[in-house]
Amino acid sequence: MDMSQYLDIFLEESEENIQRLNEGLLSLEKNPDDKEIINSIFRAAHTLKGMAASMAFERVADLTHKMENVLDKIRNDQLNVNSDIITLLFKCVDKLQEMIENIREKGTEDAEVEEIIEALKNIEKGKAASITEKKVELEIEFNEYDKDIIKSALEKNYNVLKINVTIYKDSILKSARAFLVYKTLEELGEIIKSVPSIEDLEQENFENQFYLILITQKSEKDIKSKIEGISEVEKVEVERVKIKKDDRKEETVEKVEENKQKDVVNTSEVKEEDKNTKKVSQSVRVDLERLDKFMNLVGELVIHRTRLEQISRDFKSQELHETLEQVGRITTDLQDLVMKVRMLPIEKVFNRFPRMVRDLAQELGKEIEFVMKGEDTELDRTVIDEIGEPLVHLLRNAIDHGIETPEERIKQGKSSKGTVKLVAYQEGNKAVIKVEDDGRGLDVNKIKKKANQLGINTDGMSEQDIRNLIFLQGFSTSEKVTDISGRGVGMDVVKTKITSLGGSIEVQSEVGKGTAFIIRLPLTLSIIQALLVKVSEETFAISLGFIDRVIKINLSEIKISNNKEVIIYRNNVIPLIRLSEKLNLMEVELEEKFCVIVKVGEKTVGLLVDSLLGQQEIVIKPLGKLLQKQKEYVGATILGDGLVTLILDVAALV
Amino acid sequence: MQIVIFTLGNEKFALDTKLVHGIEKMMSITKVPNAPYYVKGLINLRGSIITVVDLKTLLNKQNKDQEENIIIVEINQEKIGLIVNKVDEVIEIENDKIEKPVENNSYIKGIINLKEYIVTLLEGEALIEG
Repeated sequence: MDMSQYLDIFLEESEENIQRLNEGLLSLEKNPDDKEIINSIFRAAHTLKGMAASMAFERVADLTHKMENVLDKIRNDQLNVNSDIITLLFKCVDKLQEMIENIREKGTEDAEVEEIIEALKNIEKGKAASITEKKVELEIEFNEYDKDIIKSALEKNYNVLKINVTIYKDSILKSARAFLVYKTLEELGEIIKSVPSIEDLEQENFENQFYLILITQKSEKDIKSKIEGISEVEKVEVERVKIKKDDRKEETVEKVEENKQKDVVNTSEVKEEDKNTKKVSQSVRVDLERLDKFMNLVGELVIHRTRLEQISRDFKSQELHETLEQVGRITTDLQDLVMKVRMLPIEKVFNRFPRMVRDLAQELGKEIEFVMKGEDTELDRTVIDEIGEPLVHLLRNAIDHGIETPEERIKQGKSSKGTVKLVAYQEGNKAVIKVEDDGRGLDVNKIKKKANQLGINTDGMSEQDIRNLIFLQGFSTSEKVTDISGRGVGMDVVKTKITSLGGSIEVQSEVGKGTAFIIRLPLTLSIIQALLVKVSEETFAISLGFIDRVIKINLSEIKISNNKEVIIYRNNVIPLIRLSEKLNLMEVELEEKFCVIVKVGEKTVGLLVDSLLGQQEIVIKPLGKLLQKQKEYVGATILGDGLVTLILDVAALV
Repeated sequence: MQIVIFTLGNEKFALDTKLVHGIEKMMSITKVPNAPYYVKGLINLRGSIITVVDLKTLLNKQNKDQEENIIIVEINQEKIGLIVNKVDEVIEIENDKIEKPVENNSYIKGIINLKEYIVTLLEGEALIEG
């Protein structure tokens, strides 16, 4: 069978499961006794095993199988979690990751797993061997349906009993005896499950032991005595099946030792506690290229709708106008939809960080409390794909340069454990991501010194301006170059990447208190609300995302401060930029003009324009190769009248 | 090869038809302030935004005649418009008719001597490198 078509799905799902393993192990390290965590790790390993086996990746399957064995021991209290085991399991996960990567790139697993498997075996055997003997219990699995029945029976105060019947080994009529037991029990209540199945019992496909689950109003004693009355029954054990929250013992009784099915059932699932790990969502995986195409087509539609609206205004036909309004509503809905389809929670990027932070902290001998918030903040797929790398840089910097060593922290009267926070949230039509640490903060003097070395004059610069110098190319204040960061290729790369995504980054810092990097990103990339303005003869679009407000000003209100033009608005001095000057256009003589006040990061600037043409939804189209160097524009768009209009890049202008 | 012959000022130029995506009438062009000197602006070609190059400025030719056509060329998967006075004709020529250019100019691929006039064959790739 040709498996290649499933390969992508396999790879993607494997990554998800590896991620789950990583997360699980991290929390297991903190709460070694939490059975829930072990269960979720177990499930992830199990799913991975199943998928790998079906794709004929035997080493992956083999390794996960051995991991499962160890996990199972932990789960059944035959093995205690210690740091050695966690480290080994982490190693396994890394190995799995490596193999998945190899499969992605070369199509084969290609990795040395023998050593690690040996280690797993040792752990499995070494400590657990003595306790493992008497575990020849039969397995009982409940499916969702069974669980429902059990639950409602318990609610109605029926007894749910598990009856373990052993028939004499040398009985020649085992199936007949079993049938009698079955018959008897059927009269006393309802049998909802039998292990082995009733068919197997009839055909004598069993040793000499079987289980039945009975829902009845009779007591355990009654049942026991009735069955003991049947000849050739050697032993009867009756116990209540409980499906309660804190009944952990019951859980292990019902648990499947070596589960061959994907749905491992244990009481915890009956409790429906862990919905989040077992979220069954109906979804379809779609090729990103198709989504892009879809997005482009909707973009075209928006352009032509605007054009039609323009035409309809000229014709003044009521009927046409009404129909167009409908079309307008539908396109807007369609647009919202396609945008949402492209949105992904930032969790996809965030979820690999806890592991990274843990490893880095260990490597550098630092104590770090890593806090993540707002993982469900959604961003455009394109942004999600690109934002990981800059965030890695920022986190590494925070851990390597920001957070001090425990001794140093104690000396400064801080707690030995540093805190690194990664927070995401939505603000207007932007997503904000903050990377904060409570470390040593940026040393302005150090930056100044470095700047002077590089020949940058820092006289007259504010402290904030000086801090912003770290975003320059080749700027690293760290005196020693470490493996983690400090090669001077960090911050400028981060800034370039974020700017290319249409976002901005700013830094806030206080010596001794910590540093915060604040990244603002547009939620979507290609359709935006914009204000159309006129400067000289030309029309330009400015994204509403940047605009704080628009005010009408008389040219006499423009003041000069420090050789620069400013306006005073609500007691704030706002620097003024004449767009006509920036763009080398003819200055139009007018008494009154408009000032578009824009906010970029913490900078507020007024852009002077001649007139306003209104607000419109526009589709950003990239500029061609010949205009690639024009930093003033993010792109161009086609307006309703069919004319092309440039979209100003406010961040680059101010 | 097949070539498109067009007029620019008082000279005739040509481009390989393989590069030519279409020929358009002059249309309104949106200026791009601060753009390189030879970029005339942007046009809306049936929903796509295309950069238009002022060919006479790029080739450093004087020209005051009316510019009637924009030749849309497609080079390295990007479409670019070239402003010319007028597109004359499309003809088939033998490859050996192309002579080496006299002046050493990266924009020029060769010279073709037709009976009525001399045509300068342009190098497409060089035009968009700027």
